[in-house]
Amino acid sequence: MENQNDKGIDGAAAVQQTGGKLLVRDVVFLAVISAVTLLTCSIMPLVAGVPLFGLPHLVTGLQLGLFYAIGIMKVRKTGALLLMALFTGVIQLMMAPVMFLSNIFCGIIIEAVIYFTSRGFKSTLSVFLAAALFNPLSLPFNYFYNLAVGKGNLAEVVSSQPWIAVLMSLAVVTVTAAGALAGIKIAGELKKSGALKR
Amino acid sequence: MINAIELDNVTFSYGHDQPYVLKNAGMTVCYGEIALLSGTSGEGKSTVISLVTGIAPNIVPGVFSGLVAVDGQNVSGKRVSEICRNVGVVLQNAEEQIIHRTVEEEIAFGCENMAYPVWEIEKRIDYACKLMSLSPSALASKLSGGQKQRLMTACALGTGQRILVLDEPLANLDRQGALLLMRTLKELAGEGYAVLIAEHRLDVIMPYVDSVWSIKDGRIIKARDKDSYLRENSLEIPDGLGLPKKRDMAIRANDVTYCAGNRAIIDGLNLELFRGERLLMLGENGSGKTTLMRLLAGLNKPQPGNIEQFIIPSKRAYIPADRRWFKEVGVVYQNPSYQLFMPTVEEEVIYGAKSRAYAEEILKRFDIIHLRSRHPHSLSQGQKRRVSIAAVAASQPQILFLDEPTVGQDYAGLKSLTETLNQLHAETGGAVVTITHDIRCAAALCDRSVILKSGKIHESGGKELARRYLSGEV
Amino acid sequence: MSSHTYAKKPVYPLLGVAASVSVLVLGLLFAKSLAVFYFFGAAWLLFFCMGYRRACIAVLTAALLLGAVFAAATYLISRNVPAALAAVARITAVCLAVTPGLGMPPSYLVRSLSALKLPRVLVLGMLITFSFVPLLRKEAAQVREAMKTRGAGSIFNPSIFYRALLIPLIVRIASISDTLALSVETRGFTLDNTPYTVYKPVSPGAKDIIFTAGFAVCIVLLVLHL
Repeated sequence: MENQNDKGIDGAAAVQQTGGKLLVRDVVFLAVISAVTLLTCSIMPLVAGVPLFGLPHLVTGLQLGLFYAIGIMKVRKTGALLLMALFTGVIQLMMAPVMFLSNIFCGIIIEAVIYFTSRGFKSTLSVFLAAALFNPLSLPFNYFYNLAVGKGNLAEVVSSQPWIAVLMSLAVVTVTAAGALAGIKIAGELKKSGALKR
Repeated sequence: MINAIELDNVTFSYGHDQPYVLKNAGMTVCYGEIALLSGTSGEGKSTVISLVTGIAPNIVPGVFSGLVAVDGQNVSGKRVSEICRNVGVVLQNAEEQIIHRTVEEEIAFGCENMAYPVWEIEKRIDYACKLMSLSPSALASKLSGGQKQRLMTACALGTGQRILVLDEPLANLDRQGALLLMRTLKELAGEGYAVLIAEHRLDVIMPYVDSVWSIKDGRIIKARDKDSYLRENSLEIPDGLGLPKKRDMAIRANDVTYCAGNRAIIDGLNLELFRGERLLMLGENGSGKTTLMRLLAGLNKPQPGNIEQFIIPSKRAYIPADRRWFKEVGVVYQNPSYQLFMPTVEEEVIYGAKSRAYAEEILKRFDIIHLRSRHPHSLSQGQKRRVSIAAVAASQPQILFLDEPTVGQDYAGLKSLTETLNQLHAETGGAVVTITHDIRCAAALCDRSVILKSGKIHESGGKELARRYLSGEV
Repeated sequence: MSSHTYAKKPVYPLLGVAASVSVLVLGLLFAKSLAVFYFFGAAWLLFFCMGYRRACIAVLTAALLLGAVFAAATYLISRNVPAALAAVARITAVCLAVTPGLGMPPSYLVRSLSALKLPRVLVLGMLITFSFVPLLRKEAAQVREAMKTRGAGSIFNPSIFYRALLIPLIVRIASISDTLALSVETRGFTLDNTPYTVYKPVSPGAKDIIFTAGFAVCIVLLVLHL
């Protein structure tokens, strides 16, 4: 189809146009972005067995922050993050079921927080917060899961040497936030150019 | 009698501040006919298809006035899914539309959405597979590009609409695949189907169409007769260069083979490329043109065989395919989107240019100076293509590889582009290797042409061979 | 997931998911007990008999390799044989839990969810996420190659590197998703309550009952040997 030279419009206007309802093209874009997120996170299984708290989150933080931010910048509607979490989670369901649960849990929490604080993803700050916090939020979930299923060495590290966990958590937050910022920048540029239409 | 498709006094633009794509345009397609909608990329072919199917203005917003009717019913206010119960649509880029594992499941998808009962879906799958020579149990991921295109056509046929709209359906199809498709569409038209095809490969399609509509300056005009239309649209661009001064060897391919899976795409091929010459590679889809170009450019390695390069001094004669190599060898992809990444056209051309001054000159020569502060991805496909060629040419490569550089150019733009490429070629004295199906400029872009068939060079010649091949005489 | 590991007739997808979760949770919970290896052996045999042959062989190879690595690493650090065995048990649990997923075509899972009348938005999204990984892998490779041709492939120039990688990739993703969205809509797909058929719905059958019984036996074996 011919390229249109639309000027990008802000999130509030985009949501207003469609009444906040998710459309087929929104779902398709979120699904494709989820697929590319999974592709770039395929490094994770290589480090999953290493007993260092937060390492899998660290190696995937940049990609998750980046692509989730792009997804939400394009589809600035409530449910966008949860859908991406679900689509990536379903693949993970067949490989590491706990990650599916973690994805859903974190997705719901963040969507709820964003909805009740800023009424959705209208502002860029809300996009940043959602994309930057999704990955780090699964760290405590991971800790309690390891504790519950007796993956003792991982849980023990956290309690006996908490400074490792704190450092790793900070690193995860930093890396994911950097990814989110980059994603917002790229999405903003491409929206202005019309390549990433609303 | 009810027309299958009718546009009456249609005006459309993609925004209030955007130029009109269609202005007071009208056309009709009757049941029992195959209508061709012709025009260069960017003229409005896809817009017409979007209007007929409801994609515009429902999904792709725009400013619209006039009447679009399908099967006698005004489509205004109707959703795409409602309209498409009457119109089967086949879009471009089949690979990007396949979501199921098998042919059967993919064809069933549309039927499921239309709530056909299971027994009827089975029948429709069989019918569509027979028409398109596909096996229902075949894995979609293992199909060739042409088969994937046929699969998407089968999906449209499977849902049983009697109006079919196809957007560039011959892309990725070899001659055999194209003929199969056109014969099938001709049979369906004979059974009362209405078929509207937007296509720019006129040579294959002309014998099968009943009417030709062309889009120019926002209007849709019916051609008086097919032959005169074909002649007008095959007007050749003259070559301003004389015979080449063949210089030293640039690249030599020795007994090169390249396989994908079990299939030899290039099979024991020998080829010499000299500095100072312009080589045109011709052949059907799947003949190996792009693969050969990639091998010569160093993007793929032959298995077995070898390719010697004489461009940059090296201990070994083989292609290093490193940063040094790509400073001297320019490759322009068929899809310009892959190669454009800077924030403005100006920065895109400056990046990799020999100097800022030369970049400025290139902007003028390629007639993109007025686009200098635009984002490359805000441009039309034709403009993007110019920018990508300019950006690569700005590094003054010794060899320039161009994969379908002329898509999206109208006659004036094409003439200008061809002249610029030839001027640069004359100045640099390097080699240019081009793949194109465009009969208007093929002869003007070559001194030597080769036809590839089944991975080998079938025939070699000059401009005349290119002309004969592209007009279907070879 | 590669199609060469798919079972010809996988078990009912949700059962497969439940088995996967059970293997992982039980394996991790009882990693310190040798009895868990009986459980793994029985579960592996059950999957093998249910048609997941290629997936089982792939998983066995991975579990043996990774198990050896983690056992050696754990023993070197802790000099404790039970700890090393527990590490082997955990990695085996992770590997074995993947078996149903490896053996099941994604479309099979999606069709079962369709039959359960899961919202179409979720079904479509899952299908796309599953199907498009190979295409996007090709796109990413194409972008990386294009970067090379423009001399932008060096990580020592990060600002150019990230632009040359991400800008074309996101543009291509947007273009692909636009085309796909148009394609599904023009084939009649809607997100509302329009009636639709499920061609070849997936529902539980006799094989699934046998599988469930067999899995219950595996769990009993584990409990008996604890």
